Amino acid sequence: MNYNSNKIQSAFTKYLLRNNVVLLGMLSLLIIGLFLSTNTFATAGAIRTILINMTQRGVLAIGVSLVILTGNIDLSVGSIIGVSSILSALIFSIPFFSFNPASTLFGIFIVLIIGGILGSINGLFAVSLGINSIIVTLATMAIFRGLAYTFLGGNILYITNPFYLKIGRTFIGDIVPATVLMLFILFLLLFVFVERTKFGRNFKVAGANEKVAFTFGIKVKNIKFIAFIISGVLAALSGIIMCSQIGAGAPEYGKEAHIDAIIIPVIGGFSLKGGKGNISGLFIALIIIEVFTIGFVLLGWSFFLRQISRGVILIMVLVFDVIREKKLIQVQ
Amino acid sequence: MNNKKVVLEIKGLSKHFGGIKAIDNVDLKLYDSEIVAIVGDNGAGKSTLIKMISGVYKKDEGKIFINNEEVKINDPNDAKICGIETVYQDEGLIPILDVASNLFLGREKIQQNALGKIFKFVDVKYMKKETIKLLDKFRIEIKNIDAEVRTLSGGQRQAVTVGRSVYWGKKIVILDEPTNNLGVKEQKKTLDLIKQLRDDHGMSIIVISHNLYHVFELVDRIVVLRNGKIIGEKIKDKTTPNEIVSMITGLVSIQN
Repeated sequence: MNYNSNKIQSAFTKYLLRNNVVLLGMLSLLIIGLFLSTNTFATAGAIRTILINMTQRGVLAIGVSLVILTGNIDLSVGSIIGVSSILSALIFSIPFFSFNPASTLFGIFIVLIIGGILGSINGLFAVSLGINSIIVTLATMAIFRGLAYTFLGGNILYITNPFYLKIGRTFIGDIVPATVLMLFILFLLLFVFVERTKFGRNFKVAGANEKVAFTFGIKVKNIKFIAFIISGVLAALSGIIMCSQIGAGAPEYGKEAHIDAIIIPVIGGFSLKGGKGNISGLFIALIIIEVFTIGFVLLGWSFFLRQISRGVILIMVLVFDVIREKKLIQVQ
Repeated sequence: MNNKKVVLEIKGLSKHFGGIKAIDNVDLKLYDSEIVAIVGDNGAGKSTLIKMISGVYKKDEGKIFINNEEVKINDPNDAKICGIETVYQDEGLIPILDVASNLFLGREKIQQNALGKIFKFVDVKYMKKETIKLLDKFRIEIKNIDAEVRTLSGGQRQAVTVGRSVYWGKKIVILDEPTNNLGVKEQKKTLDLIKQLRDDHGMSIIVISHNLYHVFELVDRIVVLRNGKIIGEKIKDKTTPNEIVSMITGLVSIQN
């Protein structure tokens, strides 16, 4: 009996290509199109901007993609960014936390923990109490945003901690931010976790079919809860990176962030029903959104045109996904 | 039959849902190396009964004995530890995962190295090897074992779930409607697989089925459930399909 078992992919690129043909095609088209349409695209400045924005959006997207993978959604991540940014500014205005790298790290940990606590509030209502996560995170989106405003009103607070500012402003060779490396590592960790560890693999299972997962002893509720916590922590991290780049914290940061945070996983192949998604697709989707965002600004497109285009890309990808699903069903 | 070993025994098992008694004071014995069918009309309580044995439901009253020792089965893991493997009616497969992942669902093999010990990395190579061995052993034909199981035919999927119970089953296997939704050829293959479980592996098997033709082809003993109670037990060779049907529908009630 012959089994056409795929040979173990020694080259990561082979894996990338095989799973993401459509996305890579789209990305190529976008890049080529932009390259031909404007001479400001293929410049160091444009690439630099893409890389700068990529970390902050990417970190956020990773967190939300985990929640989506387990069959839920987190609309409150933008508000968590708001809380974490004003909180960062407040914490680092205290001399103790700006004393040296270690105390700065300590301050950062506090903000991350707060992010985790906010995430677990989502988990409490959406998982432990079983309320629909759209409704829960819609509510916490408003609540957390309000919370962010309670600290200093609507005021912006500047951050002067030099160690903190170094995070967002260290560059390798003047173009590549150091945070991009952190993003790569995070993606790698996520990939390894979800695909190779016993606990991580269960995220897909918990999102795909709760009943079957339960029958096989998988602690579905724990997994879904943890996904919300991770989303909260990564949203806080995203806020920290953002503030480090800007040099200030304000409660209104991250106002529209949840939109991108959801578009990127969906484009990257994550199903909103849960149980489906691949990390390499997520990465490519992130690049697509970044290229798109900067590209059409450079083209001089109006805000509305850009919004519409973003929606068109989303629909196109969803349509391809549906067609592919249909083809698979016909195979049987 | 009576001097054979009792592998599983349930005494006085009951389950209510709200005001309805789904299972009412049921006693049942399962002997070594036999296949027992539980039959009954829709709503008789067949699925509820086996779900209590397999840990999906918690029993309200009654006791369960494995090899004459009482056991507590409070969740699916307890049942598995007791050596009970169950194949449910709605497949119990995760459609987007491959065969090996489904075979080892919840029981993945951890790598023997540092990665495994610290981070619980799964041993993909081992699981794939074992899957190929299992499929070969039962002559289950699957061309691409890396494919998602939703691309397999109903018969192949059924073979995977039954094969899974063989792989992990230590003593007792429960199958809920194993031949539903299958073509004729695939039904025959599944029945053969189940017989192999008893004949080659000495397992004790409980089968729930609506299909009396299959029941009579497969089992040693038939238990009839009606309204949550066992209203009769017959040895297959000493009864007829007609008699079983009348017991199911309630025209005749026989205590034996």
